Amino acid sequence: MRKFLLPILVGICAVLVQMFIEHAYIGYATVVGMTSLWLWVIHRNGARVESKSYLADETQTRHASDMDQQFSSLFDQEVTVLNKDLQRCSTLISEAVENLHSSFNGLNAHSHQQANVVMDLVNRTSEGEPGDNQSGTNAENPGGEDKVSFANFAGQANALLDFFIEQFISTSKDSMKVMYGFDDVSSVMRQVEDLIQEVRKIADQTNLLALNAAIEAARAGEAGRGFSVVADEVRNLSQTTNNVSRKIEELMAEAMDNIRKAQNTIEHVASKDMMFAIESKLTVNTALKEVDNLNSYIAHTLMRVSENTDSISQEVNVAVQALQFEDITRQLLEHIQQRLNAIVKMKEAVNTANTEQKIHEMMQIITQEKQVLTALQANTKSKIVMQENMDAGDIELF
Amino acid sequence: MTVKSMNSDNGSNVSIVIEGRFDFNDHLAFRESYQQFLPNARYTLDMTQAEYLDSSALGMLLLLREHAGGDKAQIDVIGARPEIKNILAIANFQKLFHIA
Repeated sequence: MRKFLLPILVGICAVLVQMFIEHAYIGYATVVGMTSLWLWVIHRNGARVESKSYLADETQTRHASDMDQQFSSLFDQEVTVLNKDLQRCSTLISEAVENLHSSFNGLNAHSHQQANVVMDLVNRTSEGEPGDNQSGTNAENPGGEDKVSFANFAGQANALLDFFIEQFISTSKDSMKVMYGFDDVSSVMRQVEDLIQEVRKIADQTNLLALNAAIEAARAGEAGRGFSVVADEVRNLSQTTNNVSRKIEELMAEAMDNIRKAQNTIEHVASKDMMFAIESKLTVNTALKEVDNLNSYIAHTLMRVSENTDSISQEVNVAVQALQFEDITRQLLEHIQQRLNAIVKMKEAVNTANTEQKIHEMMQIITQEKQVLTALQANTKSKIVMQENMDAGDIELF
Repeated sequence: MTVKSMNSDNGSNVSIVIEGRFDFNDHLAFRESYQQFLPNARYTLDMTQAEYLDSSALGMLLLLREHAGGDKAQIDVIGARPEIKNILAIANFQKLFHIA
């Protein structure tokens, strides 16, 4: 009967090794356990065969019994170590997985926050394109009014420059109008000067006439004395007229001088080289173009950052999904423990099978435990299939 | 600078030719070139030979526009070289004059 034990146990061994080939550490430990069990059974069977042949040899039997005990304690020791290691594995994995879970959840939360910040920036930079502000009337766009952007700033600078140039040219125009007014005044004053020249000519001629009259009065002698007095008076009047004319001419010259000074001032105000406006305009336009470039560069970069954030989110989802392995691993570890328990039970049954009755019981126990093992195997395979299916699905974060 | 003006059709078409630099010193000559003509005349400023405009020249052009009826004025600017056109554009004159 015991001859069948060996192939049965080796068979179980082979099944277990094949099952855990993916979990090298646990498989290795199981192989060690199974090999020791197998060696122990071979030894025991050998000892029993020998004890049947040489029942009389008491020493031999005692020796075999010692060997039994040694193997048995070695086996128990190994099973205890395996159990402890399994427990430790289970604890380590569950702790690590818990940490990873909170870490990935944190990562996901931060990446979402980052995405929000980036979207805010994208919204801000895409508003107030520089081209919109050429007219400088930002009031048309009340939504964008409180948004401070480079584009708005440059647009307003441009509008301000346009306003300034317009005002400047308007000032030139008004100055030229004043200039034309002074031209008219000058023209009138020149006419007045001509008229004063006429007055002076008349005064000079009057003077000459008075002189002639005086000469004629002297020639008339006593009779012309009265006329001589009149001639003198007329001469005096012509000289006075000449003096007044000279005075007017002097005042006119002074006025002309003042007008000339005013004209110089007007010239200073009205005539400016337009280069300053051209250059300012060019500078502002260049700045606007640069702002435009900068804006599109920022928008482009932010879009890339946003895409990266999405990728991070996806990767985190994949990682969190992969963490589901803990569940399956824990079950596998439990199965290993149950298997070890089954093996221990089988070993104990074999160990105590020293009578026909006990051998029968042992066979029952082994059959029972074999069923347990078969059920476990089926369960494990279905779990692995489930895990593979889960990899393909999308897992919500929790 | 020299300013010459000619008229045809009994003063209803006035052509003013501007040569060289057009600045403050030309205020008398420029004003005289159009003053004698009626506001409703059609004016043509030939700037083919014009080399330079300063701000007072722009002011004088605006006064010509005022003389020619303000918003009703019909003034063509022809033959301006790119630098001159640039100055006229910066002054936003394309809205006030017909610049060809």
